[in-house]
Amino acid sequence: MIDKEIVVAVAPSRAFLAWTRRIGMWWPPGHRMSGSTDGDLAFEERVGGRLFERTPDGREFDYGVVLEWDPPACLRHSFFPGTGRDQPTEVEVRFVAVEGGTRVEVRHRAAGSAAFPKTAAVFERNWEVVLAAFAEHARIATP
Amino acid sequence: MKALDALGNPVRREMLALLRDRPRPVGELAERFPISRPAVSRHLKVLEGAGLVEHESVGRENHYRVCREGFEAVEAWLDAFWDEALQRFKLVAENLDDPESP
Repeated sequence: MIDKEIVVAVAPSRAFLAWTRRIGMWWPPGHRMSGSTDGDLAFEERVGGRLFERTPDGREFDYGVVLEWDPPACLRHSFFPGTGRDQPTEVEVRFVAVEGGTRVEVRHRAAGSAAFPKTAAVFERNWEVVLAAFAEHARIATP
Repeated sequence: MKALDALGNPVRREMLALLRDRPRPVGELAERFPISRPAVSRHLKVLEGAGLVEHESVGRENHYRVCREGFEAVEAWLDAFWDEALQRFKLVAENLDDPESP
């Protein structure tokens, strides 16, 4: 399980927009499911919408499904890379106003029990394996 | 990274999941998979070569268990992925002229 945070010198609304509408600009280019670096990533901005990559030749790769969409405070989505659509991990991002900007908090977990009650226990038990599988996927995408 | 190569196989990931519970003899692992005993041994050798499991000989059989250090290396790698992502995000967020435009 990953817990990260970073402070950026912009308001939460701007940070949220940068996270979502500009995800293709900051998502590390060596970690794309397509294996290429010239695709773009985008959210469908609603609960149930996709986070996906689209390559210039029109191929699409689903990264996850939005579980919570609450701008500019929070977003949460499932995450397929490495573990697959049937066994997703989960990413939660919170945008907290602080003096001079926004603290962005990222939690990457096995799975949320609310969203995946049947599989959560399995994931917790196998979390190290799941993490490893995710990392393995990302490495393959590295040029 | 050798550990990541070893994990690129569903049988080996399932083996690790079983070994996470407790150490197991090869024979017991072999019963769980519809593949030959030599194939099971090959998978275990790959995992061991990657530092993810280790074995000791008990009587005539090898007993395998997970090796924590191997997993810590993988988790560190994932950690580094998010570090890189957040540093890039900061640059984008702080240098965006008009985030509202498409």
